[in-house]
Amino acid sequence: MKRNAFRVVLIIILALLLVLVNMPYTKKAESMAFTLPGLPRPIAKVPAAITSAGQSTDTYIINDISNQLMIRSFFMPQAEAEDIEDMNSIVFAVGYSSLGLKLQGLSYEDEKTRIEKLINMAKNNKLTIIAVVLGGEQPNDDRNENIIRLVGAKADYIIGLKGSSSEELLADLAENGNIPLTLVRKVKDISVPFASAFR
Amino acid sequence: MTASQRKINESLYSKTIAAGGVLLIITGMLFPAFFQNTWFNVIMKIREAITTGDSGHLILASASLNSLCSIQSTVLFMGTILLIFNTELSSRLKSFDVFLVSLISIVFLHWMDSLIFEMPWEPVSTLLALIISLFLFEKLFVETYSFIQVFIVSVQVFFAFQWLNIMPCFSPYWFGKSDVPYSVKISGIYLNADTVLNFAGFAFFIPFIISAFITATLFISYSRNIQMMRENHIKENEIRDMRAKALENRIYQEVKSLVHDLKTPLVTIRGLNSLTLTESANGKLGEYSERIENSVAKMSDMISSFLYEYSRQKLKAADLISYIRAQLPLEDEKIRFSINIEEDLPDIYINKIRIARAVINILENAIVVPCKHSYKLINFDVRHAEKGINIIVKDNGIGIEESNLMKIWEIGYSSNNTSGLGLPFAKRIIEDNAGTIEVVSQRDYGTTVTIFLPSADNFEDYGRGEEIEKKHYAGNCNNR
Repeated sequence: MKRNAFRVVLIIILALLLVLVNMPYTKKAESMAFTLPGLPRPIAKVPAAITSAGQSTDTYIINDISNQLMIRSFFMPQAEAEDIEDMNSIVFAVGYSSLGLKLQGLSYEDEKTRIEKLINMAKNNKLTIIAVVLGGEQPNDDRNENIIRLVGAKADYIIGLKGSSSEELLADLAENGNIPLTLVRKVKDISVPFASAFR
Repeated sequence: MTASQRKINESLYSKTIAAGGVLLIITGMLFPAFFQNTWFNVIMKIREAITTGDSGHLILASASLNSLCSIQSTVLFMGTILLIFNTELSSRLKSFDVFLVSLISIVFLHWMDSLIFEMPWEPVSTLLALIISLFLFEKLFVETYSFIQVFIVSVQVFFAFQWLNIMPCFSPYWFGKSDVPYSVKISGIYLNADTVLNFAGFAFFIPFIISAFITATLFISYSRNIQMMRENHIKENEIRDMRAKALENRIYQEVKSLVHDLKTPLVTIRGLNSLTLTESANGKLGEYSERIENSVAKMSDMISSFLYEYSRQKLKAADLISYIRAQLPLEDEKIRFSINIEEDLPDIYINKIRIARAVINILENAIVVPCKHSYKLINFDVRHAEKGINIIVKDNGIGIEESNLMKIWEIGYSSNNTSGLGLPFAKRIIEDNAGTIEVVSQRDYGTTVTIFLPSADNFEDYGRGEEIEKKHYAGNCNNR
């Protein structure tokens, strides 16, 4: 009897532990937001600064897409406010990567401050802000969500991935801020809405 | 080795294993800090893959990532297992409960590590790999008792399951949701290499998981074969011993019948000598006849001692010592004998021939034992003891290890390439004659053997043995 009780306690602990470590994965829900296939007319002008918000490798994908579309851009993953003084638009590749931050010798707080300064500078200089969110998440970590909220709320255009964990959050941000939102099925499909923002 | 020594050794072994477990857990926890540059290299490879459009870099990044994760998981797994299976917990709990405790501990350690070092880890693949590793551990460890073999098998299991994290087709099943594996997958999809990643994942997962099971099976069957070989070896030794004993017994029986046959001419000599003595009681012939009678009686005693193990006689200790001294091989110049015999030793009641043989065996051991000194010194002392005498044989040879002292009484044990029968035989003979034997030895200083033989006064019925012998003798005479 005692042994059975002990076993039940162990199984409950294991179940709780699994729920705890997997918590972000359980929040996923299908978005009902209205999305656009692309923008009807361009909102951003070149040159554009492509930077990272969270230091994930997604920034390199956005830069590659930009190069393929031959959009005049400057790739600055760790851009500071003064770097975008001569720019007409800024593209944030949003994605939190603890390892990416460590590689650049940045803390989460440093990164948040850098992003805030960039957004302030962009707003002051009337730069167009485009947020591209490819998804990804850290178990039991809301840092990715915080960065998405930080950039998404101030963005002029949001591009995201359909079916990703951040889909619902992007829909909320778009709805609350009246921001145009495009959700694409595949990463490659980002090219179309991304190009529509410039051309 | 004594029981207390064995207990101390077991406790020391247990503590060493537990310390090893703690060390492995600490290493596993600090693993991300030790290999930070390798982790960064994974990120660099993903970036390179995107920049160059070469999905091969993604495979390399995946291989590095999966190796790091699997090594960390295996180290934490081994540490936890060493700790849990070396404590009383494993003996107190049922195997399923131990399984659950291990599972919870390892998942908890991973979780804590990911929180402390902010490193990515995959709970789903880790959990599945853990379940399989624990299952294999249970099967493997019971058979082999080898943590190294468990390590070899479990590292393969963890490595195999890590590959599921970079496969885009497993994304809907909560695999590869953390930072780096997700980056690998999203980059793979961007480079149209999702099929390549899926294929690479299967190409590593399937062979490694099969290899883990095959390795475990091979280890188990190898261990069983070794066990069988050991058992066969023990049985072969037992059969050899039995054959040797049977042969020895046969030879002994033949010698016994031969010695028995000596009695017939002895009876004739005795009979004819008694006639001579009757005819000429005085003069030279009478004297010779008496001397013949004494010699025949002595020879008869010797034959009786040999033929009847339990036949004992009362004799002076000095007679036994003289008999032993007469048979000692003293030709070697490098051996110095120091013989000290106390005066007025009591009479003893023994089987003279067999006891003499036993003491000579002890002396021969002292002669053949290797010696580090320029000459071998053997003290042969015979002293008074309470209710008997002590025969002490002391040498300055290399001595016997304390751990081997208990083994010297085992048949077949020898440190000098001898038959290993001498000491067990001597002990049996001495104990059959109500005596005791003790061996004290110190490595590099020598060995002292003390044989105690009770005095004849301790035996009220010491005449019984002689009676038995006389009955046998008379019976034999009548038969003739």
